[in-house]
Amino acid sequence: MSASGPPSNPFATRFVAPGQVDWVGPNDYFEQLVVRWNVLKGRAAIIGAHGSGKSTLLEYLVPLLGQVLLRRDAEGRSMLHNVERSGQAGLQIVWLQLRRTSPASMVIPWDELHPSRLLVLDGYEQLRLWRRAALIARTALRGVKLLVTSHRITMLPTLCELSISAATARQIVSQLTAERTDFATIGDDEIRQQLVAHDGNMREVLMDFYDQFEEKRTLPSNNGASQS
Amino acid sequence: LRLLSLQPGLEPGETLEFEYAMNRVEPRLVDHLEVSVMWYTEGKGSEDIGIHLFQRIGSEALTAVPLDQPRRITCLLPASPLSFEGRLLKIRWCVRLRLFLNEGRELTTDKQFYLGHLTRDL
Repeated sequence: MSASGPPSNPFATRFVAPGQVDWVGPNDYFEQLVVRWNVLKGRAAIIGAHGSGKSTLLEYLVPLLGQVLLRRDAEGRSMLHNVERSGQAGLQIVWLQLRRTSPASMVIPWDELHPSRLLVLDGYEQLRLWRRAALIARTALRGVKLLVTSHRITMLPTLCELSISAATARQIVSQLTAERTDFATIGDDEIRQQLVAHDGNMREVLMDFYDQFEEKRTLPSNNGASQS
Repeated sequence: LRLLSLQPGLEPGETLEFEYAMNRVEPRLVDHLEVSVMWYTEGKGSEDIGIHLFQRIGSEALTAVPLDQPRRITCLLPASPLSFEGRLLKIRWCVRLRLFLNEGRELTTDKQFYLGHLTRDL
């Protein structure tokens, strides 16, 4: 894609949102995950702290498990799904996303959860404890497969535990700034320090780099010239 | 893709005029073209988008004249939202062309412009 106009901040949401950055990891990582997913009979949890890549992992893993029937946020609004990456075979998937600000009364679309379908719940820990237990029991009774993301160990078997290393963070930043000649290279030490300062939360690290970029950015004027 | 106004800034209610042509594309490969005049937000938080003008042009209409011959489109610009260059949020207007090819590939190009006097965070 080509574009004109003022340069975009390489750390803006449109570039760093889950699924926008290529997954950084071993080539056969997803094959291994799918094998383990099958061993666990399709009921498992992805564990990791804030900003460790859980939602990003789902963007790449879920299409390998089947076809997304519907994808909604906690308020029941439909969310865009990357059709190009959407799987055509395998399970039929209902994908829900909860956030810290999500209402506690989030409705699970049970009408859509027929036996052998898969419920993907991103942000499982946002549910109250009794709702978590009820969700696990009810999906098990219905024969619904379940994949959740959580900050802590759950009552489900763990599919994988995620954390961001300095090397991974380096690769993510390099991807985002690869074609930016207008932006000074961010050093390894700075990335490492940011990662430590934010307890491994890559989302926060990228937000700090967003602010740094804005500090240094020259602003365009209406007639197309640049000014600081 | 080329804006035909002399300045990249246009006032609300003004007419946006632009033209486009396609070079080095084989007509038999073209499925359809989408032309949009749109705004989108960019920044640290959730994103939003608004489509002011949308045209879908099928392969028959597209290939009726040579692809490299410029085609002109005009549209009246709305009163809002005005372009904004903030630190946390930017509102950007653009003309976007998305060319869909038979083989499933998609080529996209944008040309940005400002609606109203550019407002900035200081």
